[in-house]
Amino acid sequence: MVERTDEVAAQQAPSGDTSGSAPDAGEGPAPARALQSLPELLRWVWRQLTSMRTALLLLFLLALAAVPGSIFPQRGTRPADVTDFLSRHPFAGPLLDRLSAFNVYASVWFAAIYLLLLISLVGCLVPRSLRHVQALRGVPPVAPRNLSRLPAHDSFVSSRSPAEIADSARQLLSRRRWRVVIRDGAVCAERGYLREVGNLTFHFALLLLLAGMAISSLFGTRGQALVIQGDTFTDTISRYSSFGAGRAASIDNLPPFSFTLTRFSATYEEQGAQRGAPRSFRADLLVRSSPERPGHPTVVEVNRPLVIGSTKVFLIGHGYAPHLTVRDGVGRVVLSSAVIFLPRNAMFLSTGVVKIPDARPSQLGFRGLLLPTAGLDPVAGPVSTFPAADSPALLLVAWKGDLGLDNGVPQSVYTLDTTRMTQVGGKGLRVGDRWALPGGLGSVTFDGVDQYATFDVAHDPGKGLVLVAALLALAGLMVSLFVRRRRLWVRASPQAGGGSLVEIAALAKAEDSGLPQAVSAVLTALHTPPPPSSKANRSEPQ
Amino acid sequence: MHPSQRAWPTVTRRTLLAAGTSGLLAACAGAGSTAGVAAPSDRLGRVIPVAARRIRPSINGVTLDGRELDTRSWRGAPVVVNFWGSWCAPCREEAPQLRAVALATLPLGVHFVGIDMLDDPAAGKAFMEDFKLPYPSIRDDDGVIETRFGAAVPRAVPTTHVLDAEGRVAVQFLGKITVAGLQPTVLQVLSETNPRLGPASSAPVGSRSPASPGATGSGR
Repeated sequence: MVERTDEVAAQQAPSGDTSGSAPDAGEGPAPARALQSLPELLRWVWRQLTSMRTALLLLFLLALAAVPGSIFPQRGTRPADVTDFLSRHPFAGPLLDRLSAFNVYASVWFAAIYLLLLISLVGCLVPRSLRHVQALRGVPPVAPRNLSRLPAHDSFVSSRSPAEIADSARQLLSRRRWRVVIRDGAVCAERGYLREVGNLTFHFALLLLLAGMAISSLFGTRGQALVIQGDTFTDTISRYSSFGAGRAASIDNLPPFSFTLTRFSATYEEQGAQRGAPRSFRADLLVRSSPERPGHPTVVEVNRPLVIGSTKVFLIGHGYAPHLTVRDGVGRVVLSSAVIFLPRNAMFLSTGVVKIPDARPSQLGFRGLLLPTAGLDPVAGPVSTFPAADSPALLLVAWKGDLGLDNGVPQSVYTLDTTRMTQVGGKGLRVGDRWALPGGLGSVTFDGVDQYATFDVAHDPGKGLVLVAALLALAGLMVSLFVRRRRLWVRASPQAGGGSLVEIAALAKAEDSGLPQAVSAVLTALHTPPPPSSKANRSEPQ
Repeated sequence: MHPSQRAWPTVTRRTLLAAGTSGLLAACAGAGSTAGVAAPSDRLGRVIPVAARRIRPSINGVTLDGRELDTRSWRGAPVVVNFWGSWCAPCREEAPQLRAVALATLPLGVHFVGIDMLDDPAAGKAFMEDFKLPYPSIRDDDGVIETRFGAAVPRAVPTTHVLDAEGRVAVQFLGKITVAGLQPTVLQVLSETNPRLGPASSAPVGSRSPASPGATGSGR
């Protein structure tokens, strides 16, 4: 991408090696020699760390280290999947867990790479920027003694005097936006300072990018909310189904917006091989900037999030919530609401549990299977044949006993711990059906099916910075790729018998195939008025 | 990308509050220890000095048994506000303790109100009956009451606040409460307006009764 600038390189020009790849002093035989003293070793380590090569390597490592984050479920976003993964991989799971595979972006090794990259960039950029500021304020370097040893050089004999040549060369180069100075009779010019500016911009933009990412992960929050049609979600921590906040995030200051899911609609492909494939999702919301303000209607679709300040609300999924009415053995209504079931396949076969801890005479628990469009497969048994709730059926298995809720140990609302319960029976229900539980335990009525939508609520304060940084990096990179840093010297020495020998030579900081052309362009311009006896040996005749 | 084509975010609702991905949430979880001990942390469970009380949430709504309730009519006495849900295991465990504190302090003029969170109304009502809670609860379906607590918004269920006689948040308990943790605090807040009822430093709190307000009266 970029080499280190090396201001000394030009002065050493006669060596011909000007590509800036001059090795850092002491880099070669480093460790053995450096180990001789601790300060030397530390200096060597610092030089290694702040070399551009290391920065690039670390950048690559950072990208590589992010890969497991997309392979394994992450605690921050999919905690339940992590639990699931751990239970399915009893050996590899805990091992991966110890390696922070489920919390990649907060892991020690990720942080190590990140911090090293940060140090490397800063350690490289600060001295380099200082040098560049000096270079910007300085004047082009003196001409090497022997211009003909530079990689691009040319000469001709002019009838004009050396002073005239120097003067017209100075004017010519100034006009072409070179920085020019006449030193020891030679015209010294330099241009392309923007290249290093672009270069530095690119690397500072990388730093900004890292800062933006850090701000997002420190101050950002992300949560998921399941909202049944007709219900209201309020942006407080207790109403999220899962919630993750950066270490420095102030959750007290969550913008307390709220929205009511007035309507959720989904359409599916009705015909052909794609039957059942989702075609559109739409959530109609009534959004309030604060729970007690009047709401305004808003539509949220899959790639059209709701934006409230720096918070975005994405529609990421949906599902069904069968509405049940449960009476216990003494005839009390102990539940009358929609219970969220989680979809298990593309046809929205969904599972869920119902817990009735206050039923008498015994606590009740149900495991349920909801089939939005119920069908009976001769092999697989009850299946759902279409994702829409066209012909819903609910299969329930009832348990009685101790739900395990009363000892204070929290449990998932999606799991039923039946270790201290006994199964009392099962039943398939259609909408409107009532199931009288055996043994006078009560009854269950399947009232209907409600829809719910899943929202991802992300507060990402560093996002703007990341965008700006990315654009800056791009701009800086383009500048550094297209602008060439060149130095050019014109020396006119008096010839015996009048006139002068004009030598032109140029040097580039990096690989620059256009250098000979630059020299010959200057030569041509200085050559006019008409060339009497050009000694221009290698220049293309014009 | 269509939502259903993505890996489903299998979320463990509510529980997460408890199971806890972040330290804060974990506090609700099992331990609840923060609330159980007398002086848990600087921010929680400790009585905020009168001058520093800034949050004055108004609590009004329809109770689970269908009556209008507005805690403004209770000004002049402390109010204990308990955020709970019948689905919440720590709430079920703390309910008998809450009941004990309520039975001991209601006769002293302290008021109690429950805020039933994310719950089915029928299930909530059955919970109140089962645990024989001697005070009303109201529902907060749209989060209005909760957000009125501002910086003291319940970060987990259960959360218990004690409001002073002027309705300002004086104490906040995150997680399960215990008699030993809550009752002296309630009495301390009560003593701000009624010094005779202040908590004795040594006397067992349970023994206190309205008939014989064991006097530690300092200002009288």
